[in-house]
Amino acid sequence: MTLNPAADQAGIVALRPALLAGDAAAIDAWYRAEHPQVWRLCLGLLADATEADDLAQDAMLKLLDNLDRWDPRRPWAGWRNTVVLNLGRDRLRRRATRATHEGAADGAALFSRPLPSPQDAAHAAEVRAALTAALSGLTPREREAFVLVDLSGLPAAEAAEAMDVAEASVRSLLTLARRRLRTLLAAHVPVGTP
Amino acid sequence: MSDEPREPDDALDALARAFRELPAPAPARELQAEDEGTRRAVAWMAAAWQAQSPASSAPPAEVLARRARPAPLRVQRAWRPLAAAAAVLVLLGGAWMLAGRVLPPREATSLPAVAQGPGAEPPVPAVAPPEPAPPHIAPPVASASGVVAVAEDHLELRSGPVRMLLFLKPTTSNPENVR
Repeated sequence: MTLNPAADQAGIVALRPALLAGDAAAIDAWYRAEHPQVWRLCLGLLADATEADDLAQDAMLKLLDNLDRWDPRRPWAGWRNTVVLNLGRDRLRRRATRATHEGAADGAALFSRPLPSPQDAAHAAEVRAALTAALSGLTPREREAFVLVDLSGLPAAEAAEAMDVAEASVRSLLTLARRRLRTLLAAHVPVGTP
Repeated sequence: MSDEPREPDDALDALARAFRELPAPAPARELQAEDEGTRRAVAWMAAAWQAQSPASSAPPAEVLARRARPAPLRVQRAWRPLAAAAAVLVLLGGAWMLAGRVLPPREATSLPAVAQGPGAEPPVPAVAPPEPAPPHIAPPVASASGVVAVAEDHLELRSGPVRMLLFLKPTTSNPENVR
């Protein structure tokens, strides 16, 4: 599923009055459409699927509770990303006191052989493990830049606004993230990967 | 004013804003300009990321219940300024009444007449103190200012209520001439 900012914007503007009124059907429709995107953002930021489940639910609640603060003339995706980013940063600060999570520990074994194709359903678990392990090798800020720009397809300027940093910083973070990923993955990614 | 000390947060915000407005240098390449290995790695990551999906995207009951609130927040917020203004008025009114009881009156004459106890002296009406009489060293003159009197050794001048005596330097060494 790819992001379609224009469709998201029109859809959320149309749904907003019903969501603010507490219409259960509207909430159900909005949640089902929005949750996968929010969850993927959380997965990218935290590099942990279990934590992404938890964070995505918190983020959806926060988005819904604060929907009256969103100006419909402003891009929905930008506001949503900022909310998710801030929650993700809080989560990472709390995590910093805990032990290293599972992704980094499995990295060495995962990247000792060719990676399966991401579309290969039979190896979905391995793909997810490799993805989270590779993301774990980035710093939190590099992950933010990489997820927003290279994975979500956001322009660097919009990512900079969501991250509250300069656009130049986003570009620098992207360069660093790509170099790390190349070092980690390039030898194991099958030739012909799109 | 620019000379006033600013809050630290304001200064940091201004610094962050100025930093954001700096033109972006171009050390970083667009993805298309990266080498083939980097592009393959990023493409694999993007495809793997897009292939991920949560176990369920059904809204939990908590979300549906969260919005089932009868009173919209906007209505409650509209009353907040009014409630704050009422609270300020009540506080100011209380402070004014307290000040009226504790602080002494500014003008005694403005107080209303109150009953006095037996034996108490009747209140003396306040009158302006009489203007001190001018020294009788010169006769009053009709003009408001000017020379009032001229003596051998001094001169008396007057300007409104102010009188000034100028003693002249004695022209002789005779001590009798000195007053």
